[in-house]
Amino acid sequence: MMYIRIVVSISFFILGFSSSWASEKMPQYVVYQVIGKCSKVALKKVSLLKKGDFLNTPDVVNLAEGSTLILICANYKAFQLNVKGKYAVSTFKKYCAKSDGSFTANYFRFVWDELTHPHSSPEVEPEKYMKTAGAVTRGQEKYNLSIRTDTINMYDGDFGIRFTITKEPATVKFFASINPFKILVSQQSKDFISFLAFAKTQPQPGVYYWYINELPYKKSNLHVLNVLNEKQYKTTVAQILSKVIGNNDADRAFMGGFLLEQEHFLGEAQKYYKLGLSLNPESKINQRLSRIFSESGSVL
Amino acid sequence: MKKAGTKKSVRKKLSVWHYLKNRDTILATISVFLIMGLLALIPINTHILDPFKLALHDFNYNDLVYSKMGKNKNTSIDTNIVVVNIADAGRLEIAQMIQKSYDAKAKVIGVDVLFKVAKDPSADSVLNNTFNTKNNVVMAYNLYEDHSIFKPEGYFFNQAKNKGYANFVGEEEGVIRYFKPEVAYGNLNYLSFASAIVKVANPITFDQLSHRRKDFEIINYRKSSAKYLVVSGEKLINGEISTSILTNKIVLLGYVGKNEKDIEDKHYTPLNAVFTGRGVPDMNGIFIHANIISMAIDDAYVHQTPNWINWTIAFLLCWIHIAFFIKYSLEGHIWFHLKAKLVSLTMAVLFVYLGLWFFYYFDTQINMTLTLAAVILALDVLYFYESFALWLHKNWGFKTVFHHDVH
Repeated sequence: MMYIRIVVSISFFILGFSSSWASEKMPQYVVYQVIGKCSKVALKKVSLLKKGDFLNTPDVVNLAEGSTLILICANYKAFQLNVKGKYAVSTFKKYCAKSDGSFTANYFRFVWDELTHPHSSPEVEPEKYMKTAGAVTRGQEKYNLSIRTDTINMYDGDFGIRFTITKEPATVKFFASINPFKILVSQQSKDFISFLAFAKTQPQPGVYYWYINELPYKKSNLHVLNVLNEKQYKTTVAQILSKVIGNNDADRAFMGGFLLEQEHFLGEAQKYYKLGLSLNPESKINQRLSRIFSESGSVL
Repeated sequence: MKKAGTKKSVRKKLSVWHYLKNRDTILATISVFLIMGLLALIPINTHILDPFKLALHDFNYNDLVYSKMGKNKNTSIDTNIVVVNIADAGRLEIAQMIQKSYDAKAKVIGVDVLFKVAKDPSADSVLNNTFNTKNNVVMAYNLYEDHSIFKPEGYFFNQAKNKGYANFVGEEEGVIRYFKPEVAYGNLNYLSFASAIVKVANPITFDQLSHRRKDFEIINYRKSSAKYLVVSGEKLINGEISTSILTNKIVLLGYVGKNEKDIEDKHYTPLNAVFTGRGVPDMNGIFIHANIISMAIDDAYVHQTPNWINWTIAFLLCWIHIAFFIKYSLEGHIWFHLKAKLVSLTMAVLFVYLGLWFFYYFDTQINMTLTLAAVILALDVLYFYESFALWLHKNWGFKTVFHHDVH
């Protein structure tokens, strides 16, 4: 009996410790979508909620009749509220739990599922095992960027890059951070991303993110913007251009553009491509220029 | 094990044939199969308690024939099929590759590319026209199951004259060992990509494939990707390759990995050197289709022994084992338990060897799982049977070779 008591006591201690540790990790929330009228009360101030707003534990959310509010937790789980009423943000933790049970409960759930779910095999039910197609896909992507690089180095944002998309128009969003999500700019476009709007927010040097039309918790679809300070930017560009050789100014400009593009300085690359084109209008680089870049400017 | 006679008595040595005819041997053998049946009837999956089963999930010992014994390692280059590597080509370039192959008078052109949605209108228009008008072009599409209903997925599906689903049969991310020649759903009949190609290339061969009426076929991996002639699609378009190599050939347009680490459209096959656990996928889908096509054309199908043969083999071998076990347990062999276990293990290895041998030399797969299970269970069931027979003897006068004395 003594042995059983010790085991039970240790089990409760472990469970208690686990739950208290979990409760210390307070989730943050960001508003992903607002339909209708939703407001929050924070520090006795009432404000209407809009996409990108933050919600913290002491806040209270009010939903009007027929409204829907979609929130994203810090761990990327999303949930929605659609019943009229007043909600304390502190009660939202339950929606963000990554799993629905403790370690022990999950283990026994796994054992139970394995014991009880029907097992078959490709030999017995081949039609149930036909989920692997032996072919590549051409044209499945929801959008195609004109660039392959994942990271863009920039200082000012007077450039744009092209993309094609199956569903028009696309929404392009720029983030200051992804945990929690902090949206800086949201824009709609048919075929190009303007970095000018982002640059106008005067971002401090650092890492920023952007994505097209995908839910933000799909990390693989996030692209990186590496904002450098003016000195660092110009020094690096000068170092890259110091490698340029060529027979004439046009060639040197094209090569400079190419090297800058390779080093992910796309804004600067566009300038050098344009320069080369102005010096040699017959150059085929014009096709490349128009395929990759767009003139920056107002977006739709 | 307890045996007949007293402790001091020395039992007369009898031949194995004598024990084979003995009622206890036959009843014990039947008991083994009854126990196997009972285990199969338990409505829970006991493999959760079996780490070997979990570790060897999706393992088939026949894979060893390819990966370790080098089955088909010395087969010749396939001269019927030419693979055109589309690499990163877009739709327009793919359309050009089809046209080049068509102009070269290829026997059939299989396009192992999924065009799921609309893309560039001009390229789509060219492709649409190609699939719609050319009688020897076969388009691949994806067949997926939605609430038990099979649905084709492909932007050009309705327009394409010849088409086949590119799906293989296997666990997700698992080893591809089988393909289903066709899926019949209601009035609809979907052909696999390889079947559709064979149908255009050689209707007689297609009839043979259809008449086999197999729910699924085991893919005979007779040729690695190195055994197929691969040409660059880009060079084909640019006229850097003589198109005469495509004349009267089965031309397959598909993606060929740039290197070993490029796993796009790459799958695990029995040829993979890492035959358990997770290795790197080893074969592009286009070469798996090529293997299926050449298997059908060369009539090199893999055969499987019928279930009644598998059961008969299992019963006979189990019967012989039980006879030996009873003989040596009764005839005062002090090392019986150890030897019996060793014999079980040795026989298990031997039976797997025999199964592999048949597959290697005769392209025939014998399911030795039943035999293995029966032989491994035989000893434990015999212990149980002995106790049960003695209980029957004590209470009902049941005649048995076993006795209460302990040796």
